[in-house]
Amino acid sequence: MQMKNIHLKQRLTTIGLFVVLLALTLCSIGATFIVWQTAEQASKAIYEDTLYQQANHQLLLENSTVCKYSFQPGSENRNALQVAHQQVRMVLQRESAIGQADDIAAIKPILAEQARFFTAAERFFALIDAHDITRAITFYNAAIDPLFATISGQLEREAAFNHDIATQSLAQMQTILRLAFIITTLVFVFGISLIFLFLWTSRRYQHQQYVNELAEQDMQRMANVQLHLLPRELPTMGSLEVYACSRPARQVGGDFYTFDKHASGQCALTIGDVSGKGLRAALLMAMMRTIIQVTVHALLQLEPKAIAGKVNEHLYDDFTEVGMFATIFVSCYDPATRQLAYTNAGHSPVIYCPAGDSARFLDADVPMIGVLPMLPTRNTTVPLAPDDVLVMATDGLSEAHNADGEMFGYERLLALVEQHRQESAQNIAEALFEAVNGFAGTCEQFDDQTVVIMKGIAQ
Amino acid sequence: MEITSAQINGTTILQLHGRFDAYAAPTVENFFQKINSDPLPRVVVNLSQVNFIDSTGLATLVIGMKRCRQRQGDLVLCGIQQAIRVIFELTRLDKILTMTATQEEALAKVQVQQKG
Repeated sequence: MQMKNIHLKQRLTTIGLFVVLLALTLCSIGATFIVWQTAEQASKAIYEDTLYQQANHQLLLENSTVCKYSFQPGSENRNALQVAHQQVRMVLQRESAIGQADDIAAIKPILAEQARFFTAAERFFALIDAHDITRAITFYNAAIDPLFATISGQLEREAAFNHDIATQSLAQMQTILRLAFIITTLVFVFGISLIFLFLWTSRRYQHQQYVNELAEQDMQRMANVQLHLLPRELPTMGSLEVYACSRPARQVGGDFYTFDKHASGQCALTIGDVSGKGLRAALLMAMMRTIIQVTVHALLQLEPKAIAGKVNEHLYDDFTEVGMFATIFVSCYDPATRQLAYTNAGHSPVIYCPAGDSARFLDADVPMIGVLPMLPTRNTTVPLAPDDVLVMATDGLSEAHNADGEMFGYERLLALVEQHRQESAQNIAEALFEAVNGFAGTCEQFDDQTVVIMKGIAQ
Repeated sequence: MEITSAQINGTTILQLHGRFDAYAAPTVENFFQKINSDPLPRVVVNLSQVNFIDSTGLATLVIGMKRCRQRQGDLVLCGIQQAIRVIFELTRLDKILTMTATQEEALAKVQVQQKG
């Protein structure tokens, strides 16, 4: 669960970073595009400003040539005027060629006035050539000078206008460039973070896979150890047929059973289930098994309540420490009397099916091991005459689920035992497993499944 | 499984709904762990809406009860449906877990036991 959350967080962080990076990259591209556009606008404005200034300069030349002609008439100044006039026209035509519609509209009247200026200059020259100085000066003041002022004013305005555009564009460009610099730095930082995150995540993932593999191997080893802790041989007694089988779940649980022969010829048979799973359950199960063995060998008179009591006495503190419990069903079979004495510490299901009678559960006498510091155990006895069947199972069978979440349950087990009571202990066990398997279908086995079956046989 | 919790006079009431199985047990256990940091943990678990319990569910309740009692508190169950009561009886847990029919009785019991 926690691991899933970590993976989700990593994934969200990666997606978040990626989205931020994408957004920043788009911003960066946008900023670059705007800078490019602004730069073009600025350079065009600067060029146009220069053209207007050039035109204005040539106009000044024209005007000064006109003035110079008054005291130095001749072809030289006439030519100079012609040249300057051509220059102004050329510059303005160049501007007209690159300019927008409003530029062209502005240039047209300038060119017209420029033509009028040239015509006026020609007239002024004629007056000078006729030595009519007074009229020439009057004409200059009345016609040429105002024309010059108008044209020059217009050219200056256009130049200033373009100069403003250039200045604004450059300022704008500066701001955007600053922003672009910040964005690019962020793109770099986020990009690097994303790369590191990718590297880190993949390393972590590899590590996690390695850890999972180790854990899986450990679990398999533990399952093997656990299977080896179970008795390898079934007890052989003339009057009793015993069969036992345990199928561990993928994640090791705490099912176990023991068979211990007592000096008196009796046999102690127990089945147990430690709550929870994994290493703790396996360790407690191993401890319980050892305590049962030692107790059986130490008891002078074999009694199930003494065994259950000892197990609880020795392990109560350990169980409390780890917050776990175990259910056990301890039974002692006496071949001489064919009686089975038992103590049930919270264990279920245990099914007793006497020959010729209906099957019933042997309910718990006392709560499970590890709950009460002192267990008020007692012995109960049932006969195991020929064809009497006793099935000790663990909740892995009764709590097996199918795909609908339905539980196999106790009643089905009871019915199965009655149905197969005539068969051998092994066949009954196989029938139980087969029924549980068929019921669970494709659902994974969640808990260990263990059965120990005793059946009285005629000697 | 859905869990709702409420506080009445310093007693935590956990109302469980639905299936109390191995999948639901960790959530309930987390609740118990939170409550167990109290100096005198008093818990009432209302099982009236629980229609299924398995061995892990039972074990969780026993763990909760043991932890409460270790800290001089108590845990009382109430409103157990008949089908589930059978399982408590089968495992003899009815002998060690305090059970009442109604939540009011459970509240009274958990507080009386405290005073006693």
